[in-house]
Amino acid sequence: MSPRRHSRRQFIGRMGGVLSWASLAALMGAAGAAGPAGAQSPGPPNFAPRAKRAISLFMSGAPPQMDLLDYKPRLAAYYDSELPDSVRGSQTLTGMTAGQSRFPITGNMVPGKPSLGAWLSYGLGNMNENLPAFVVLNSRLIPGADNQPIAPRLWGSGFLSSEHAGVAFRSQGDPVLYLNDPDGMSRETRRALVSGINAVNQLTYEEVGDPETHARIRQYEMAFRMQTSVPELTDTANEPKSTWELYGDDARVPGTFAYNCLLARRMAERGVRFTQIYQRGWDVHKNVVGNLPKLCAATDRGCYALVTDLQRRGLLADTLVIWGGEFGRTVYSQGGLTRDNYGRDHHPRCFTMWMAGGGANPGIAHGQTDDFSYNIVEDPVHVRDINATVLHLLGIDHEKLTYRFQGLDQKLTGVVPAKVVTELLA
Amino acid sequence: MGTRARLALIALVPILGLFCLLVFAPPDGLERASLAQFFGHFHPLAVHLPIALLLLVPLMEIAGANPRRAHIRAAAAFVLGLGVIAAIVTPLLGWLLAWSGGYEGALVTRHMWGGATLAAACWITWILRGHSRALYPVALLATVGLMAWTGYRGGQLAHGEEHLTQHMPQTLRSLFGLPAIAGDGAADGDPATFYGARIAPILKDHCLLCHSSEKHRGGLRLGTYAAIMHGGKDGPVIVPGNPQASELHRRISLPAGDKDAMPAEGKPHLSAADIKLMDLWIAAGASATLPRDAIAGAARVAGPELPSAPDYRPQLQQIAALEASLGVQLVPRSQIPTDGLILRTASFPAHASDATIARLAPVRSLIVDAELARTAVTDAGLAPLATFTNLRKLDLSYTAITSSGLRALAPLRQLETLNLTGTATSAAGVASLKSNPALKHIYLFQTPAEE
Repeated sequence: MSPRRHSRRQFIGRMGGVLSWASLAALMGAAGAAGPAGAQSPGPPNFAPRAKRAISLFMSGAPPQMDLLDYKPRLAAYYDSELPDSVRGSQTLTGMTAGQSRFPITGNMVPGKPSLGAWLSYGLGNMNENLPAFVVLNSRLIPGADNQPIAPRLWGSGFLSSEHAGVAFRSQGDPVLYLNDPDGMSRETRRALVSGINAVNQLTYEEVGDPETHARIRQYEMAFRMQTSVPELTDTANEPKSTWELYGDDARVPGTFAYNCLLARRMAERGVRFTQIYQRGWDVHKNVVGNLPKLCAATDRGCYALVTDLQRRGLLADTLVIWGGEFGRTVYSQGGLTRDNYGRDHHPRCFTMWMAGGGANPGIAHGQTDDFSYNIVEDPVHVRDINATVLHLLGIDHEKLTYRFQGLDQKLTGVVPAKVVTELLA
Repeated sequence: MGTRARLALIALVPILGLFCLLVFAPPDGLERASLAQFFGHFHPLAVHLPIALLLLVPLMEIAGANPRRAHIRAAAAFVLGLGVIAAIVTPLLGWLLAWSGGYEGALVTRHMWGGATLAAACWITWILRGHSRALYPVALLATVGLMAWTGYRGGQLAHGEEHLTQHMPQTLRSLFGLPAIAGDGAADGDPATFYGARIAPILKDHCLLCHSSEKHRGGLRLGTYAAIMHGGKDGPVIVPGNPQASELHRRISLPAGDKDAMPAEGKPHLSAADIKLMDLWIAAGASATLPRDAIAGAARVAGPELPSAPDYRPQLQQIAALEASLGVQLVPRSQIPTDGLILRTASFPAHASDATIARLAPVRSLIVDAELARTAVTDAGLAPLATFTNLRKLDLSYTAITSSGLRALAPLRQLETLNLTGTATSAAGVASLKSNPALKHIYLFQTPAEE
């Protein structure tokens, strides 16, 4: 059966003839590239991967690098003095660079590009057909912190088939809604219902030929299977005492960062390809002194516990853990400056990330900033190079993971040449 | 004596001269006067003339067979005559290039004799045309065949031995009886050594076109470890322990425009990472036996270290059938078909049992990574598992296996990583794994052996 049975006349008739030939060609091109059925994937990794899966610990809002990982001992002596002009150079200062938060995630500031997790789902596929390849865990808000909003487009699939979008678990109540069948509905009835809906969707597909309809059918099937797999995934009753000793009692409360870290480990065990944990509140434009201890208290133990737990269970060697935010923060104060209250603005020129496991080179620091954590003085690494390196560790040549859209072979790393940072490989 | 016969005699002189040169002054690998080299370097340019002219002759003869196009046939004689001249001049230039440019070896010899014989064959074909309607087509066909063979050898000299075959599709390769492409194997040297795994491939990719046993500019051969350390006509190019004093380092580090920079003649230069690897290797003593990962600071190579499993592709149908009937996945580790398969049970771990392992026997040598966590596998399944001889990674966490069962795994000589988290493994069970020579990581979290 042809994937696109509609005739050109039928198609144009339905559209009221308003489509120009050019846009029709674009539509047909996109549909043709996507293929008719099945989750499209470019096949096995280009080369044997070091990491089978990845976990991203996303500090949404951008953590101040000089307060956490890029410590500058000489800064204290400069307290309350102006930033030397020689450091800033001719850069124009901007107040807010809103919108940049998509940068490290999709590799592109413009909305509509697929996120890293969607690319991995597309490129590598599922390891467990009962769980999504890409899961997003939102953590509870931290009271008093500057909780910038986040939106599903951050884990969206862009122009890739929508089944590659991250499946977000909730931070309050049930992690996934409507897992339980309502009273009076048996599993058999539910199965029949889903099959019926899928049959209707299949008719729609045969009439219209939109591959998104097939994506929807597969999403219904996934949701049906998740009714069984998610309760097992989130049931931590059988976790040994050592788990709670490691993650802390916070991990008993669903939606906390520590709980999400524990869930991420359980997903790694069960074959979820990419888990991304969001912790909001890092956008410290004001009150760094007051909020930073809260943010660290909420996240530090979970990060440590996750890496340690993966290691002792033999999972770290093939699980890449990535910690980071969107960009850096300024060394100079935003707003008033006192010893116990100041803010830090967005800073695009440098920031710090860390990686563990999954073939990342352990025990090294790569790159160097100046005494003000303002400019990079040694071994700069662009976001696209980070993305290329992450893909490399997962066995993907970033030049070869492409998807034809709008006449371009689209890539996560974009059109400017990116390189794998070999120093970061174990 | 007619004009034609006189011409034939005149042409015979250089042909005989050519054979004399090959017999009495064969190329010996030394470099000589630059004037000879100057003319010699026109050989790769001139070589296109006889090829084009001689290919044209049979086409003109066939096209001219139609009486309406007889003029084309008449012109074929003229083109053939030009072909004879080109076929005499070109090998003479070739001899100049080989004799003065540091060539020797079987490939060069074959190409040269091919060229000289081709000159003679052209001459004979030219004489036969007009004298023998029966023999002329045969001679012409033989000449064109000989030309193709000689041209192919020349191409191998100029562009590498596999210039035509390296991107040939696998089916065509087997048709020609060529060996399968085995990944990015090293040119020379044990892939377990730093030299074999990291250095030889760089030399193969960038240097061997001009510095091999077939063609050795500057007397330098880089195809084998012994030849590399021997150096070129000006002495060694590597000073073990001192990259800065090594001529090789100097040449490959020069900017592209420098006349001494290598690789020469616009060929792609080594990447900064490759140059760093060469320097690290020389600084560490330029050894042929140093293990692959022994040099700190060298970025590791991607992918598998050694060929790990047979090609899975001939068994694709069997693999699909096993997946369907057993409810497991058999996933290629990568697009490299000898990287092996992963046995994946994450979707339905409870379905995988001892019987599953036994039924995977037809593909057991293909599986390099067995993900059996949370499966129903018991000690009884470890005996059939021990026949998966290419297994390098085995995850048995949260299964019912015990210490006594682990003894059955002794035949797994390749096994590097064994995950026993959450099993009943005791210290005695761990001790029984001492006989697995490659085993590097054993995970024992939540086992009696943990203490």
